[in-house]
Amino acid sequence: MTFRWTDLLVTAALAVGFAAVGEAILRRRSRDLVSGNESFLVGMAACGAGLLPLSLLFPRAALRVELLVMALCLLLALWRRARGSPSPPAPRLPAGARDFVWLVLTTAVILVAADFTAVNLRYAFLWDGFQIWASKTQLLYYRGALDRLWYPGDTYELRYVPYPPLVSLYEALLQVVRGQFDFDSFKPVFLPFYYSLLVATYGAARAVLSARLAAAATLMLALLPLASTGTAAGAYADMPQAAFVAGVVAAALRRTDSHGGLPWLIGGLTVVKPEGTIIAVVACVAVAYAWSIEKRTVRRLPWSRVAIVAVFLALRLAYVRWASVSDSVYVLTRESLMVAAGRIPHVARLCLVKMLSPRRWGLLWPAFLLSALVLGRRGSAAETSLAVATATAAALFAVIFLFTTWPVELHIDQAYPRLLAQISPAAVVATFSGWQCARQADIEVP
Amino acid sequence: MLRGFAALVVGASLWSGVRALARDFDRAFHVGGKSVFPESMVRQLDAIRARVPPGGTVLLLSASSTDGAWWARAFQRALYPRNVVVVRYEPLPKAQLARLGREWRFGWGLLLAPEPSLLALTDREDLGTLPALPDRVWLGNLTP
Repeated sequence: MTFRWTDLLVTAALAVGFAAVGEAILRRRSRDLVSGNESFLVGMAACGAGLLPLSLLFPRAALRVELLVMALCLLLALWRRARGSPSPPAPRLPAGARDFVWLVLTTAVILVAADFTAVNLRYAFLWDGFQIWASKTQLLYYRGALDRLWYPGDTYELRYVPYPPLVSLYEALLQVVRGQFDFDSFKPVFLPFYYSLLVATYGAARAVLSARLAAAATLMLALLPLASTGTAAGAYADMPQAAFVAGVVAAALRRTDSHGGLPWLIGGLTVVKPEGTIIAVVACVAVAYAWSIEKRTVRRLPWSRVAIVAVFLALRLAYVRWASVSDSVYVLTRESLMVAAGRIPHVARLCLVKMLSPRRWGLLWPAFLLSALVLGRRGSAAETSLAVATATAAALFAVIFLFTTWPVELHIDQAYPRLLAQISPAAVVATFSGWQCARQADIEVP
Repeated sequence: MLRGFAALVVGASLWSGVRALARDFDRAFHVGGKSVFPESMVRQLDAIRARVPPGGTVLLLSASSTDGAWWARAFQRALYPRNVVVVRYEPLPKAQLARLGREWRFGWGLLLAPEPSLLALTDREDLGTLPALPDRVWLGNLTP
């Protein structure tokens, strides 16, 4: 890629702008890296979801309105800081920073992140990164807002029109600020997503684990090939989706100050990739389940937060309806249901093979399944919910291949590992959590 | 046993991760191009822009919907929004070609194929090869 160094600065400035939007929504100042990352994700979720209404209100200028909103929120954040509004002091050093093992593990994570940075900035696009997301960005940039058209004359690719816009939004905002469109300038955008993925995973793990184990969990995630290499560096949207999953897990497990952000983060899952809506629904059920176990009632559910998620889901549905493109890849009819029923053993076997590939995952998924069993017996309500939700999402992702019109083997080979990569932060945290649980209870793994 | 299993999981993670990182680093810095548009394609794009004026409508026909799809769409994206490039793949029946011609009023044709005979182009120009494909890029006028 032939990006300019100023592209990196603009990308960082936009990340700060997103975080400012997040702070304005959460009405708080970020006090450390994890809460700052949460603000960043919340801001992106809001901007991503807001793009459809803004596109309807300002059909040629939605991108510029988004930039204006970000700038105003940034001014508000600066004004709040200048006024010195109270903010809890941040710890000078993270817990565990004087632990040698923690330092080694964290250094290893930083080295992997440095490798991703170098590779990401050097790599050209891989297939989806260019054919879907960068192309969507190009149309967004030149049209100034979301549109119901794809490139002139295209029919099959029309199905990309209702794909969620967040990654393209970030890329297009970078182009607007730099003043000209250049495909080769996009890649810096994936760095904030990647760093966010690592920070949120650490934050999620740290909520239930020691600093040392949290660092080990983060390193394990960073070492997943699909998180740090290949399609992640090739501008696919799976890694950004994983960053939101990590953000949701972190907010759900960190109980002290993050619950204000949780509904926004769950909603944010719907603005990155189409399958994010499935993850969002699973996350809602998991959070409601944990809530009902802990509070022993559903009547005291925080309905204002439920409403936030409902608005995100409604906007997602509205976007799909507005685009009014029929999907020719997944077909749900009486006939396809019959075909799907006959495919179950075949699809299950193929997905299991992908899941157990040591080349792609090491032993993550077998370890996760064992940990899930432990958490089911010994874990807290939140940990149990996390494990069950992760397993449910993995199973639901397999179900969608029952209805594909593509050759099943090809489709699963190309897509299922990337779908699993999206929920890998949850799997990693659950795995370490289950291991700690087993160790504390001094039981053998079943 | 628990520690042994944990060590195995961490070891497997290190093995798969380090291996992938090394392979990807090598691919990025020794195999991958610096731009999504390789130098040969940049020259081809310059030649197309020199001949097709802004607003000109181009039919791009690729001999292959699998191997050629990447390059066909890359040309389409590279020329957008200066030129409308409508992408189609072989086989393209004559009736469909005629219908497209009536709909889009193509002035130029761009053919990605080993041989130029798939599309009736006048003042045909050979713009050279495509990376890793037997196809060549042919540009010419497309008369109704």
